[in-house]
Amino acid sequence: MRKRAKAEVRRSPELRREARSVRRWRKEYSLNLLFRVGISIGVGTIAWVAGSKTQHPATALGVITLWTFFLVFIGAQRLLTTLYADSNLHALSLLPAENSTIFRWQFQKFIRGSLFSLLDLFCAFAAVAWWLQIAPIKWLALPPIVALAWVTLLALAMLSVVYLPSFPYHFVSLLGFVVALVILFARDYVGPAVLAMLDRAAPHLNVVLPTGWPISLFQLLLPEPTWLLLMLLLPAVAIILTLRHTMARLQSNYEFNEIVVDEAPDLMPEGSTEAPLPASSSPDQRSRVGLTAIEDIIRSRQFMSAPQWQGRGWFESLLWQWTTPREKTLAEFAFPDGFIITNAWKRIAKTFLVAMLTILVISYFFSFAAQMMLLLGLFISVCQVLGRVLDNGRAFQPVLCSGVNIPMYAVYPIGYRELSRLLWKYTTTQALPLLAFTLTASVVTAYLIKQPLAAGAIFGCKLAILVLGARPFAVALAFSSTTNDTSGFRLRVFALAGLIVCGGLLFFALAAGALFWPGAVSWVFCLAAVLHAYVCFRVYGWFYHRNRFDLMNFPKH
Amino acid sequence: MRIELHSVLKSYGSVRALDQVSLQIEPGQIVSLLGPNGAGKTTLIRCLGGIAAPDKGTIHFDDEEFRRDRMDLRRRMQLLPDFPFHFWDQSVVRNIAIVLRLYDADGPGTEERVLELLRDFDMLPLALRPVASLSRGQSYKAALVAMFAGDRELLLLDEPFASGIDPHAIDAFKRHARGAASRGHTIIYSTQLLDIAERFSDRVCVIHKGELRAFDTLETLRERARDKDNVLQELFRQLRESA
Repeated sequence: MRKRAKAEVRRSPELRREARSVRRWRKEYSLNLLFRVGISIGVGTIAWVAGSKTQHPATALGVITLWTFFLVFIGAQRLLTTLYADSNLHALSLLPAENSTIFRWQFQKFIRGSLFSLLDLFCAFAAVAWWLQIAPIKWLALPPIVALAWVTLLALAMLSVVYLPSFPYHFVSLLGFVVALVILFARDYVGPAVLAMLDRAAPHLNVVLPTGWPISLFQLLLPEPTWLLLMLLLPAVAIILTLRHTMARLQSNYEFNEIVVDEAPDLMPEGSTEAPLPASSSPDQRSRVGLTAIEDIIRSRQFMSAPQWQGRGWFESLLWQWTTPREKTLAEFAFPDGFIITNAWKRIAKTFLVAMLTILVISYFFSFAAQMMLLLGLFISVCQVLGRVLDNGRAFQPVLCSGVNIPMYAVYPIGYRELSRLLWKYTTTQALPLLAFTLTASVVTAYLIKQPLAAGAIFGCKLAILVLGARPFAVALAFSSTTNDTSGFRLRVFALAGLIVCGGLLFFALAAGALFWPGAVSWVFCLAAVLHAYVCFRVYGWFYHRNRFDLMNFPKH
Repeated sequence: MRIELHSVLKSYGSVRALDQVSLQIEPGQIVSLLGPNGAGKTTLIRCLGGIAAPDKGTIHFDDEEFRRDRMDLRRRMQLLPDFPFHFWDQSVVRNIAIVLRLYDADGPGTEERVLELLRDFDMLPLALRPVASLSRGQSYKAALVAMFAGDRELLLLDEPFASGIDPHAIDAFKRHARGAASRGHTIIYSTQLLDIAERFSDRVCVIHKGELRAFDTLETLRERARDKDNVLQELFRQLRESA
């Protein structure tokens, strides 16, 4: 059959062309594969270097623990995407297949993708075992430890999806990559400090982080093992045992049919006797709004009035006053349910305060554990804050349309500058709580790492300015993410890719200079970073306005 | 709105979706875009709507070159993809209101126009329902109501007759499109249904492999054709044979 198919392809020029394009895709796919394998080797190398430089196996294992912990976030994000936002789902929904079948198919896809994390673990453990020159017989213990660590990682990712589905996992992944890139490029400057910190923290990390529990078992292979570490097997197995439950929950909630929603409550006339019952009531109990009532609602122009979100809090009211009528319209488009700023920041503040108080209390007893918890707490709350401050709503949400992804805004007369201005105003309105957050976080960090509090406060101020200043660049990136501006081999592609990549790196370099350079020069860096972000935004806008690329991109295979 | 395309070229890799397309469309016309699958019809509509950017050539609206920053021109047209974009959790009327406000077309009298359109498209009973609860055809009708309520000068529709709308809605669509054309508005739509294109277009634009093969009134095409009763089918047969 294969021979016949090949002969058929050879005969037809059109099939030959299609076969060539498929081969191109395979080439691209194999490049991705190579890149991913490169990451696995990189993780192994880092674990090796960390171990050999510090001569502490726990430090090498700490690298693996941290990487696996980061993979939990990536895994959760990937599971959410695979189950609910995969490009295949449109096609699968048209097949006469049960939801459970689609779920199984998509879940298998997730597992296949997760095999790379298994490879990461293999590479990392093999590197550590090679460095420690453990006895050949002990190598046999590596596969079960790796398998245990991998299954724990999967279980944690699934638990995260089930219990924290709206957590901004993508921001954690992005921030993790940014931090890794910064450390990689600035390793000559920050490398020794990071390694020293990791060396001190690794024994705690391996016990505190759940991903470290199965990884710590590797220490049993070393001479004079501490058999008490076997106790860590218990919580690790407990996590693995949740797999069945989380799998069942994911499967039972996996609804793939068209969702039938009740009448929108926003237009029901107040006190109307025809108002529908809550969604929980059975279909025959629900009353329908009569045609006359609908006509009255439309005639009264009730449906034409823009949502009033200014009463939700002080920040919303401020933003309402600041925005023009056109921007209010755009706000309704990008955030159909209106802006929620005050309550969101209250939630962030509560979480952050609880974390800080816990850390301060812990610092009285275990100073080093407090630093580790601070890092963890900061990492998570920074992700939450960035998710809030750099939120774009639905404006850039891609919609699959005739085989391409088109962002929502592109179909309507929405300009680059006007949408950017609205998003910038939205971010700037949050300047005050952002400053409060960065100041508090920096001062507490300075206190815990025994640095002058004033230095911490200045650091916090600069951080807030940089986040606000990065907004124009982030908006340009959001526009870019839904276009084909960097596909193909053309001059403008190189120019745009250069603008995005070099622009991003330069911004990070300037931001690093602003935060870490001593003296008043750091403020010059700060200003330069903000200006640079704005210039990048304007340059990208120039390309955008001159129709240098399409406002659509092809979905990833 | 007068539309001119001058040698518009658009490629996706090695595939030429539009190959030196030049044409001129006068206001007040209904133009059907015909061609086999992958001929370049949707690309042409996307280029006109500002989503796809031509690699070469220019597009002029009323003698003014079209670029994305020409918001004045973009507000005079509306594009309806084959799968319209909706705010699925919002009601039909809320969706209509959002679109109208984006086009700054929510002035006095809009409510009566919306009401009339909802009635014409049999959407009034569903007006307060979230779009997510509607079928594909119903959600497309909601988008059509928003489009006709906006009353833009140029309406671009990708495969409106393959959108699942019922015969009554097809009839309402044709009626409102004719009404818009009589007010000097231009309607450009792509379709694969030759009999509909024969009856419902002032001009027919045939594209094949990105090239413009014919752009004329049906009468002129009929004069040239051997089979006067099946002009478009003959044209398609010729295209297949030439390929």
